[in-house]
Amino acid sequence: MSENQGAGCRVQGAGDDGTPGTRHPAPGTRRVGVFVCHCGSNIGGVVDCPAVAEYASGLRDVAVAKANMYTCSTVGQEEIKKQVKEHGLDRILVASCTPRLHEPTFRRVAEEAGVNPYLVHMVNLREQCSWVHAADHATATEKAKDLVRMGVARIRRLEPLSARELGVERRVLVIGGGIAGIQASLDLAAQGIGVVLVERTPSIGGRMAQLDKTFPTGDCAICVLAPKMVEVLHTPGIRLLTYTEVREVSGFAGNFDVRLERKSRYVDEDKCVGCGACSEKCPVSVPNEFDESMGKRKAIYVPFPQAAPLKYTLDSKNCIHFKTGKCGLCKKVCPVGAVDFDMKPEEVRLRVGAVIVATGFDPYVPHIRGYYGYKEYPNVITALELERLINASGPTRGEVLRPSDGKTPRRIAFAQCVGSRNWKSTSNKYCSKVCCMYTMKLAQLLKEHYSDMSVSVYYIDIRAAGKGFEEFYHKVRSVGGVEYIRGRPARVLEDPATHNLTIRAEETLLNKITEREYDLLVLSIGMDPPEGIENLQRLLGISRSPDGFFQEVHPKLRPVDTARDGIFIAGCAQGPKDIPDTVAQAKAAASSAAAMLVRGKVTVEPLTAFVDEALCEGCGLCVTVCPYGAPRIVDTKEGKRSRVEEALCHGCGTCAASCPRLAIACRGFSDEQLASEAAEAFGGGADEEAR
Amino acid sequence: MTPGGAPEAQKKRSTENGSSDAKSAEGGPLIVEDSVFTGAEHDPDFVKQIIRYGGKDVQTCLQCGNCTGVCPVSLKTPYKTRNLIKLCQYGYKRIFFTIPWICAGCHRCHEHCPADINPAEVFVAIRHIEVREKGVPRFIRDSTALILRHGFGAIPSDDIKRYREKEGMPPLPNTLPGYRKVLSELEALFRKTRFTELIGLETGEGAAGERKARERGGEASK
Amino acid sequence: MRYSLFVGCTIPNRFPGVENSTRVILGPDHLGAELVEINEFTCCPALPTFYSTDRVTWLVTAARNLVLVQDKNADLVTMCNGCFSSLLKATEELENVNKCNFVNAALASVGKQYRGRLVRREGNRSIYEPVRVRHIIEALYTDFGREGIADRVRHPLSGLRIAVHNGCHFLRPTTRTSVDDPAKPVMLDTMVEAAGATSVDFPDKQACCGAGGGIRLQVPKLANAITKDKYECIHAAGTDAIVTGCPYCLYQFDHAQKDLKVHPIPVLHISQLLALAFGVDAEHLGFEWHFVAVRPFLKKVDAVGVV
Repeated sequence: MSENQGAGCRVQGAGDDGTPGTRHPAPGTRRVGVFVCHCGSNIGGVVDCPAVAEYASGLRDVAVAKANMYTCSTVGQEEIKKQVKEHGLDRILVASCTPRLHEPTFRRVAEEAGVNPYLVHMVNLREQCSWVHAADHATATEKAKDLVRMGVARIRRLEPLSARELGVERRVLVIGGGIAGIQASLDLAAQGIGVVLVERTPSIGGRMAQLDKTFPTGDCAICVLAPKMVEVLHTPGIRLLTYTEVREVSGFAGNFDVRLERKSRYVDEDKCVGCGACSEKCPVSVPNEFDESMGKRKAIYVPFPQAAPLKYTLDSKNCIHFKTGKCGLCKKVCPVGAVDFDMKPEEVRLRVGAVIVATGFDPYVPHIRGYYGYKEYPNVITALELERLINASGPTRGEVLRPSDGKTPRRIAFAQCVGSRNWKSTSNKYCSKVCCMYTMKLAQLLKEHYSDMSVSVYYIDIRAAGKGFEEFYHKVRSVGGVEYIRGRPARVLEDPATHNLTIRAEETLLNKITEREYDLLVLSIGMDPPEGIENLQRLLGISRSPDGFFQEVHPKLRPVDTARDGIFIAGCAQGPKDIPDTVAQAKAAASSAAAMLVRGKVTVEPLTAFVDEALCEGCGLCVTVCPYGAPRIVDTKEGKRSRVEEALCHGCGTCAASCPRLAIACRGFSDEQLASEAAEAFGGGADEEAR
Repeated sequence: MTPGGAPEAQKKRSTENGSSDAKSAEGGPLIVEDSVFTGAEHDPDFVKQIIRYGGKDVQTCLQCGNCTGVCPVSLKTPYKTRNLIKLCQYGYKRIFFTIPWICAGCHRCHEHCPADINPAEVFVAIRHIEVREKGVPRFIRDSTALILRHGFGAIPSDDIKRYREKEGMPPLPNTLPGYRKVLSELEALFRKTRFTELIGLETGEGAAGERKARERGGEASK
Repeated sequence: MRYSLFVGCTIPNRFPGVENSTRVILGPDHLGAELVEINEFTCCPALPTFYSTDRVTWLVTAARNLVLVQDKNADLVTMCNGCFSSLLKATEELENVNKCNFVNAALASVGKQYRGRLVRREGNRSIYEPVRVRHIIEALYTDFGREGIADRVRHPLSGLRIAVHNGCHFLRPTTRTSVDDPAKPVMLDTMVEAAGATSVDFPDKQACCGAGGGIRLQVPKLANAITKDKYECIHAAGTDAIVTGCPYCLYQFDHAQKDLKVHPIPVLHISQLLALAFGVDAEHLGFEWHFVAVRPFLKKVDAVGVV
């Protein structure tokens, strides 16, 4: 956003609006129409609406006042248009419900009737009057009159405004290369919208790539995911940047300026052909994060065979060359000369029209102080670790071998709800949603691989709500050898000689405490918000819910939108969910982003703050208090001054309220407009006297 | 509520609780009259009453049974912490008046409770209710009477007094002449909070309890 | 270090040796702490008796004890888990202004007021903080540390295997505070090791002794049944003594062994163990009040005055 664009839109006073076909009120004359809504019995059952309308008709500048049954209905809307025509109204006051619900409706009606939509004002007789005073009809009616009188005082002082439209950049930044980011990118590209897909690890694929099979169908995770990963590589509209972090996002919907950092992988991506000669020769072996540290990788590596792009990455923390300056074997053996020890991080700047945040989750780490002996007893592992063990491309080539002795366990226990559904302040209160189901899947897989194995699942509740989920649960229970035990394990004790584990728990349906011995304990861990989410939240300027994940605007009706226009969320970034839900959200986010970009322009609300530069001293307090980063300090001929970027401004008024020089005002909420309303509240308004 | 009362209470509980299976397994009658709960024992205000006396809202208990598994008492008795919390949810107040005060207050249940309920504190609240609605257990009256009389829960034997002298330890506060003032302060405070009234220390029973407690105190310190 | 010892009821009446050991090890010959004597203390008061029946009376009585220390510039130190839990819980409750005002209204009738200890003045304003209630284990661990204790050891208890029993109310004194990690406590083990002995590992190491909450008073059989499980784990681990920081746990382990008629394992308070390691003559430590004879253990220790 350039400076002149912001400065180009100054105060739009009376007669300054360019909306075609709007009536320009002659200075000094105002013709207000008041419409008091019964809202069925919601308001009408308590407030005497005709009496309120009657009262309103006597107020200054009110040309007509009517009571309607449902003002928002087609009949009610037509009534408004009819009255505008008959009485030549230039302002419309609707006394009904909250403006959150129907303000857009009545603004549209006004526009259709030729009245400036910003000369519509709503008085809330429902939430703020009839619902809270249901027991006292007479007083409620009196309060309704007061509210309408205040509203008229305010509407008399409103000024016509017009919304502005700006062009957009037809490109989307997708943050996170898991299944959500991959799906959103493919959907956007299919609609001809450019995509920049950013992933912080060396390969896309995310958590789904780590899984063996998927519930409830038993599809092989990588088999269904890998084709999509390859498609990302080969779709011309998608620019894939792996091993890259987002550093800065500024601007506003339609025009975000983004700064990225491509970390040095010390391998030239353009040259690397993925032959693996470097990795073969590398003498360093470290735990592989992709295998949840159950397996090993080299210091120069690809995390897994299907990695996309198939480009090697040198992990400088573990590389001998970076520690001692010696070795350099990888560089020597690389047939294409791709290894470059001097590679520096690279900055990428680009402009995008929208952002999709698909940063996924981190598996919950059972803290060392936990009660289940994780990281203390070798045969206590997490479900994701088991997932890697049972995977054919995992560290044990698909053999489930317990860590203490490398033998196949015969008795396996699962502990559910580890790191979920815990109201202690140190844990997660929410249900992680997938653990019941993946445990069923793992139980089934184990029984398929080892028919003589016994599986016990310690659970509190089983949640199998989803298409085909309950049927899957039924199937797993009918396999035989899978026992469901209702009770949370209370104590895990290890036999130091055998490393077998004894679980003590109350089996609540027996009302008995039992102790059973197992060879392996699997913790069904939940999902945590991913590492770095606080930082990303800060640089995107979006909010998070108490669970720590990103917050959608409305849980039902706007599930992938954030409070910052043009930024959307998808998948586990928004909260724990399974693959089907994640893919559905990714498609929704792609569709929402596309809807905005395909239109080619964004509307900028005129109800924004503006600075009177004659009063401003450039103290910068507004810059500190603004939650959206709208005001900036600029150098002018007269010295430092604040300017509000209207496209960023949400009209919240925080800057106006905090400005020590009273230099900032909000359009539609000027001091005069608000003060007149307040004065009427106490009956001392000038309008009252003039009646 | 004496130690001997415990098995008696247990027996009563098993019929009231309708657990006829357990009884028949032990050779008792197979069919019992009250095997169906009719809600006659249900006190809808019990949950609120527990909160009023400082317990948490037991309605949020997930019934996961972790508390039972870590409870030293649940391990050795038929009383399972989770089950007792369920009985609170149900409003079965009367059953608690038949169970001796056997919560050790070790707070392991709270340490492990995923619902953050703190069953130990719930039982403290239930004891408050029992004291006010049913009466004070004897051992409580005995020990409070002792404390009111001596400032501490026991009085040292002559052996101990000699040992202290021999070792040059300072005399115990309640053997000093000035301690009378402390005792009168304690009594004033107990009256102020109406504790003496609550425990029944004003009545003859309280005095009798005190005598018994003194005997026991002397015995225990041997 | 300035401490005010709060000895409570059980120690002076059942195990006077614990009080004496504590006084000796903290005294001028050894750790050199200053002890402030307060002669107006009463029962802490006991949680099962007071906290279970009337929280108000419990808090008022506990506050009265705390008032006695608040101006003494000394930390209140207990050798008993019960006193520790009751008094620490009270300081937390008294941070609530409403509760504190209510308590002070009652205390006013005996001319007392709980304010907490004065920590500093800001202009005319005095800043108070809750009275510091501490357990002897934590005080030794924090104020002297492993090294500070080991430095004083004249008679290392090398080769002796000790089963430590922390006790529930040391590990979980209140719902808000833990001084040691309740799942993996280290303080008592560290003190035992500082004395030169070995703290052995055994299953269910943090299990309850079984006596607390009035169980021993009402249903001794139940208390003993709980103790038995833990005793068996300790016995199987091959230990020379059980060491605890609580006189009631001590009493329970001591007497349960009598009731259960098991192979006797002596039970000591940490203060007594440290006194032995500091070279204090065993005859001063009041072992005659322990039911399970401590003499075999003293022989192993080669304690002064025994052999």
